[in-house]
This record gives sequence, C-alpha cells and structure tokens, in this order.
Amino acid sequence: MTRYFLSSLGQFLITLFGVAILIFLLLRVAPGDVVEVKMRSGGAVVSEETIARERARLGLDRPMTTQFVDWMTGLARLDFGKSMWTERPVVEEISTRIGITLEVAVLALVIGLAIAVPLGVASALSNGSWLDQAVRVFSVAGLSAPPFWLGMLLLLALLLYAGWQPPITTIRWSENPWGHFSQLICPALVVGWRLSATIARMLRSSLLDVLNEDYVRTARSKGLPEKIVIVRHALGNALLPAITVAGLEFAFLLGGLVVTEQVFNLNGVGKLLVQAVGQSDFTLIQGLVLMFAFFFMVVNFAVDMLYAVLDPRLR
Amino acid sequence: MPLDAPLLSIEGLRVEFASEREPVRALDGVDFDIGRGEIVAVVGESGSGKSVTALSLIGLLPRAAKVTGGRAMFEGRDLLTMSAADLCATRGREIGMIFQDPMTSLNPTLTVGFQIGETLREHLGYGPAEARARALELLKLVGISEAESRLDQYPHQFSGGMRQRVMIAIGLACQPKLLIADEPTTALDVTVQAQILDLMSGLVRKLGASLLIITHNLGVVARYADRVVVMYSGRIAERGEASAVFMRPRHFYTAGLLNSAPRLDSPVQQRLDTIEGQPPDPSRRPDGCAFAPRCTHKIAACAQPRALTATDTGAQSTCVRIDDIAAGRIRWGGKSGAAPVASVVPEEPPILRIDNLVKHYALKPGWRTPARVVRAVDGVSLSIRPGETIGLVGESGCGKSTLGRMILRLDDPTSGRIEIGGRDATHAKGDDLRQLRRLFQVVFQDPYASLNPRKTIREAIAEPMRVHGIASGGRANARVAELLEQVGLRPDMADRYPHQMSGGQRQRVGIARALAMEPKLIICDEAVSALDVSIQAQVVNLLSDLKRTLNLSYLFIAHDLAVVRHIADEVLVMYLGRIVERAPRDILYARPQHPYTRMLLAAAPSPDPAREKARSHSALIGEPPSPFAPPPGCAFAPRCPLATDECRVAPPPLRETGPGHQVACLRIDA
Repeated sequence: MTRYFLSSLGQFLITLFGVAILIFLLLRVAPGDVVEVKMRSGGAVVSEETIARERARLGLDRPMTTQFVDWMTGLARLDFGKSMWTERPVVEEISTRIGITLEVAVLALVIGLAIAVPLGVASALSNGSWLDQAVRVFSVAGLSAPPFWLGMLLLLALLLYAGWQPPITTIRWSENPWGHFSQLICPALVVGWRLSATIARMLRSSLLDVLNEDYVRTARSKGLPEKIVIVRHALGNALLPAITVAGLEFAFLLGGLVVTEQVFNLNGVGKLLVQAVGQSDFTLIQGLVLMFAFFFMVVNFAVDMLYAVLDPRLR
Repeated sequence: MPLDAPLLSIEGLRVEFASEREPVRALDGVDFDIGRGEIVAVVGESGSGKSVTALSLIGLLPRAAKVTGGRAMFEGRDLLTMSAADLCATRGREIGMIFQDPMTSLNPTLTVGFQIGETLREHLGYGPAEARARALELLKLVGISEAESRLDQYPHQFSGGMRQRVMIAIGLACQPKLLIADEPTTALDVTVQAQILDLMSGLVRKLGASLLIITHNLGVVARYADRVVVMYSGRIAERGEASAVFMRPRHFYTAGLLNSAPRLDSPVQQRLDTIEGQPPDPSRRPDGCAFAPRCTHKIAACAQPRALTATDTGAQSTCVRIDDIAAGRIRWGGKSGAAPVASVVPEEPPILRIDNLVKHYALKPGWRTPARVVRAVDGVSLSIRPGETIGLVGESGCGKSTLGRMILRLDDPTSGRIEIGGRDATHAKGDDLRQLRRLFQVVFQDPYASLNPRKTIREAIAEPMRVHGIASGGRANARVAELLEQVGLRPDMADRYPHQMSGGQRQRVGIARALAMEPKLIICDEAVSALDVSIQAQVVNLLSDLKRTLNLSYLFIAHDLAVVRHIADEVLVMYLGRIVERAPRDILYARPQHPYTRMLLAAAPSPDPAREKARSHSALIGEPPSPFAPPPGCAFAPRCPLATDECRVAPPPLRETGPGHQVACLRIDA
C-alpha cells in the first residue's frame, strides 16, 4: 500500500515537472511579454531603454535556463513567485479566486449527477422507447449547446420572465449566504446540464452492458424483484465507467470554467487565467497551469481510489 | 395433487426468436416430465435448444425470444403463464438455477456470503445474522474449507471450481424442489468437473430435490442421469431411461452422437466416426425428421413429421425406422474409414526441439500484494520429428498455451532454447523470424475470434501468402480454392465472411489458413475444444488426413485426454509448468504412472452408464494450486494420495521408467 502511494506520488511529480517545462517553453516561444503589454499598450511611446530596465527588474533579460532554474528552485520551496503584473504573490492571486471556481464546479457536479443517474438508468431500462429517445434529445442538446450561449439565454430569461438577475458584485458567503448561492446557481446549472449529458450517456450504455451480464441473470434466477436486481446488482457495477467520465469532466471544470466565468461575471480562476494571458503575466500563467495539472491528477487519483472502494477486484 | 405425479411436466413447448425476416422457431414442440427426486439430463449440441428450454421454464429468456405455445406444469401451476410476481416467488425458492460460467455468474462487487444469504432474506424473511449463519452452513455443505473466513470474501478470490460450489450453495439455499443446471461444468477442468457433479447430484439426492441438467457432455449424462432427453434442432429426437438410450439408441442421431464422441475406453481407431454435415438452420428446418439430411439411412417417410413413439427399449423416439433399428436390420454407420494409419516416424532430425524452456512472469506489486513471479513454464523439453504428433495435455493454467506461444515466438522465453528445422530460433528476429514462421503455423481454439470479421475467407487465407510473398493475384486465388477443397469446404465459399459460416467451417478455414504457408509444423492450441462432438470428430479426422498426405507434424495442445488419444503419437502431461509424464500414446493410456495422469483419466466421464455408475470418483480431490504460490517440491503433492514428506522437498525430475516412458514422480518404481 505504501509502495503504491509512493509510486503514485513519484508519477505525480514527474508529470508536474513535464507540465512545468512545457508551459515555461511555450510561453517564451510566443511573442511579447508583460513589459511590452504594460508599457506599450494603447500605443504609448516608451524608449527601448526604459523597457530594458523594466525587463531587467523583472528578471526577463536573463538566459532562459537561469529563469527556469530560478522558477524551479522557488517551486521546490513552494514559492510560486510574484505576478509580473500586480507584483503580488501568485499564491495570493489564486487563493482569493479559487473558492468561487471550486464552488461552481462542485455544485455543477452535484447537479450533473442528480440529473444523469436517474436519466441514464431510465433510458437504459426503457431501451428504444420514447423515453429513451427523449433522454437522448435532452443529452444531445446539452452536449451541443455552448455553455456561454446557454448562460446568456438563462440570464435573459430570468430577467424577462422573473424580473430577477443574479447580483453582479461578489457577495461573500459570510455576508449573505443566499445571495452568494444565487450567484453560483446559474453557472452551475448551465455547466451541470452539459455534464449530465455526458454522464447519462455513459451510464446508459454501461448499464445496458451490465444488464446482459451473467450475474444479473443469476440475480433474477434467485427470484429477486427487478428493482433490487437493478439497484443492487446492476447499478453498482454500471457506475464504474460513469465515475471515470464524471471525474475527468470535473477535473476539466476546475480549469475550464473560463468562458462560463466571463459570461456570469464571476471572479474565479478561469477569469484570472484569461486576464493573465492578456497581460502576458508569465509567472501567474505558469502557476495557474501547474495548479490545473495538479487538480487533474488529484481528481484522477481520487477516481482510482473510488474504483478500488467500489470494485473489490482492484483492492 | 398425487405424489406420483411428475414434479414438472412440459408439453408442446414452443419458443420463437424475433429476427429481421420471419421469426425463428428455436423450440418446436418439446415434451418431457421430471419426476420427484429424479435426475433428468437434456443433451444436445449447440443450437439444439437445450438452454432455451431451461431458460423458458424460469422466465429468463432473452428479450428477443417469446414462448409461443405449450405448458410447463410445476406443482399444478403453469410456469409459462405465471404472473411476474409469482415467478419471482418461485425462482430461487422452489426452482434453483446453476449456470455455466462460474467466473461471470457471481456479482464481482458483493461478498460471497451476501450473495448466498440474499436468497434466504428474500424468500424466507431471514434477518442478516440468520442469513449469514445459514450461508456459513451452506458453504460448509458444498465443501468449502475455512468457510467462516471465506464468507466475507469476493468471488474473484475463489477459483472456478469454488465459485461453482458457491453457485450450488445459492441454488440450493432455499431447499428448492427443482434444481436446473445449465452446462454446470463446461467451463471447469475435468478433475474439478467430476467433483462438482458428484457434489451436486449427491446434494440433490440428499435433499430429495429433482435435478434438470443441461449438457452437451454425454459422459456426464451417463454418470448422473436417471433419464435423458436427446434434443436435435429444437425438437426431441429420443428420450427415455439413460441406460436404454445409451446402450440401445433408437434414433440415428443418438447413435451417431455416441459414436462420434472420442472415448478413452474404446479401441483406438485412427479415425473417429463422424456425422457428416451440420445441423439445419432453424429457420429452414425440414417438416419431417430434422436429422434426415445427415442420416445415412433416410427413406421417403423421413420427410413426414413423426411424433415420439415408444420403442422396444422403453424409450420414445421420433425416428421413422425404429423397428428396423430394433430388429438390427440397419445400423448406424457414420463415415469411418477404420483403416489404421501407420504412424511410422522416420528417423529424421526433429523439426522442432525445445530444451529446458522456461517462462517466468514478473508481476508488479499491487495494492496489497507484493511483487511475485509466476512460473508459467518451468523447464520443458520436447522434440517433434517430421510426421509426428505430440499431444500436450493439462488443465487450465498449467502453462500449455504459454509453451505454444513461446514456440510461435509470440512470447519470449525467460531461458532455454528453441530449435526449429535445426536452426536456433530462441532469439530470432526480423527477417530470420519471418522465414522461420513459414515453417510453423497455428490453429487457435476460437475460430470466430481468430478470423477478422471484416475480411472474406479468401482474404483471410491469402493474406499470409501475400505477406510472405508466396503468391498473389490469380495464383493466390487458385491456391485458396485448392486449400478450401483440401479442408473439405467448397471453393465458392471463399467470398463469404466468417459470420456466414458455422463453427466447424470456420475452424476448417483456420486450418486452411495455416496450410497456406505449406508449414512443416502446426500448433493446434485447443483447436477442437470449442466444437460440438459431431463436428469435432470431423475436424480431428481432417487433421489426421492432412498429416498423412502432407507429412505434417502437430503439437496438439488440449485438455481432453480422449481427443488427444485419437490423434497423438506421443503424449505429454503437464502440471503447473512442468511435464509430469511423457509416453507413447498406447503406453500412456494403457499404463499411466503419474498419479496426476491417473487422476485425469479417472475423472473423464465416458458415455457408458453401466461403467460410469459403477465407478468411484472418491480419489478426486482438490484443485490445481495457484501458480502464484506453487507448493515447494512436487506441485501435485497436495492432491496426491501417494505423497510423502520427501515429495514436498524438491520438484522430482523426469525419470525413465520404460521405453520412451518418463515420469516425474518419486513414488513410482522404475
């Protein structure tokens, strides 16, 4: 068990290192840097000298290897550096915004599962019927409608028919829990629908497979009522592939709420990333990308653990 | 309800499968009874409708199938028209069920104890503690040791035989009046099969229940059944007392089936009797006798349907010519050229020689398991001369297929040497290996899985010729036609796809593909195991004929000693990675020495009721040990009646005990 964890941890670190190299190089291949954006945006005329001085101050004039080694030694001490734009620590920039993103992602996952499990089961059990078709239409719609468009529709509809719109400024949980929640619910619904479509389709097909398994026939031959056969014998096994999909999608949400946060004007890490890219804020982008990679691996690891809990063969 | 009335009475059972064209009649009027405490066997080949019969009784037919007629009266109620709720109350409570594949029939995510207790909780209202206590009793009853600790284990922690014991415990949990076993031992090794069948029939007798056993294995019927129902193409061919039907068959299909089964106790002929042709497509089944197209004694009257008619043996048969058979005027004569084939092996250098071949698999550590080494093959030597057939026999997991894969160089040996045609092939690579591969080909077990479904037969056979640059275009086509004829298929079948052919035909295609390279050696890895008895005999005969005409050598890997007996010149018996006995065919079967070989021979049931019922299986114990943790010393010692402490020290080497006879056992005197 310890060995398993150690080897997983080793793989973690190697992957993170790879991601770090990649993002570092990619950023420096792209033209422009934070100094140019800061000083020359809007067509301001700034002397080369000033720019060079600013670059030297931020350390951007040093050889790439030196910059990389510096960044790495910082990382080893869990120092992610300072934002090149605001010059506040990267950790601080991220930590003030990560909360809202996590909340939306978790809420979206809950909504997605709450829709997907009943729909997936219902359509598998009524394979080929009108219900199955209806679920398919619902799923395909969820998959093909872009979340930002859905988001705008949702906001418009709320405004037109309910005369309500979510608060525009950030409301803290501690100040007004209901107001805070009302900020989360719309983006979570939009993203959750999409999530539910993927999970429901996966669950439908895996449940159909499992229903053909010999052990389901055994359960029926024991004279168990159909409900018990489905819930106890089929669903548990059918959930495994659906969990993988849900895990991947969830990990994607942690880094992928970029557009949704823009539409709903949420000050989360997705929006922060867009900002950082616009400002060529290398250290912040690097920090964010590393964090996304880390989330992705943690979620995958959690899925593996969950698998082991649900499937005794993997223990 | 009178006590002597049958427990279950099936009348005119008809089942149809929906298909794109008209519905296919899978069962076309099946009638038979099961008495109280009686063991009834339904035998037939695949597609005969035997499993459909069983499944229709408990309402577990696949969706596409529908019961379209008949009754199945069980204790005064018709199982076929029962409400869903009544059926649920009957299943598991009054009718227990055991399925074929114990590896897939238990839920992998629930403990064994729970799965046994579940039935009790559902039907008898047991609480969790009560159900657990009774599950423990049941586990002990089906012979699982350390039952207490195994109760909380999951199915994957049990071997195949143990899982089937668990299935029996589930089937018998509520003490049902009827137990239906659908091919209960087909997926098990022969030594385990006998134990499971003994256990099942013993328990059924003890509990006074009836047993309906569905099987294709005639030996199983002979040993356990009181009465037998022989099915062919969705209808009953013959039914009656097992001894009457087996000793004096009154339907030519029964006779043909009995004759084509390879047996350990009949004189060795080089050719098996066969039933030519194959069962009819159920959508184009003749109105009269369905077997007539394959029957050597058909007459005009066979085209008329005929009901089951009493015969002189007390059985009932649908054969038109019952009286002629009874009077001995006609006898079943399949195509059997009884001409013995001279297996003279010329003193030539061997085509294949392997020397002390070893394959160890290193397993990475898992969650809770440390790193382990599996000794799949542990020092095997053999050589095959041109025209010679070596039979390699062993149960699943003994390493016989790994050995085959190493010879084919699909797996690299850990150590040892492989020599093909006098050249070292152990580490051959690239062009070298390609040239060597022309010398040896392989025929696999599953003819469907080993043919690409999107390629025609022509493409499948021509591909190796093209790859090796032997022939292409028109020449390849001509060669394909020639090969198809050689394996007994019509050349115009070349444009068919694998799914348009039967299992036997596909296996012939597999053989044709192997022959395309004009190899010297063909490795047959369980090449006939998946085929029905009558088809198996055809393919075995084909292989013997080809061997003679083309001077081929075979390495014939199989688990069935009876089949091997009909084709091999020399037989090697393998147990857990090692050869435990090798001898010329006749010597091995006449005077087996290693206790394991004797156990294998004793376990194989033979289709002879008198003989089988007199035989004792008490010597069969245990299951092959896990290859992860083989016992030190002789791997067979834990199951061996002769084993002493000396046996448990080191694996015994092969010793010569007679001319060409080698045995790896310390307890056998030379």
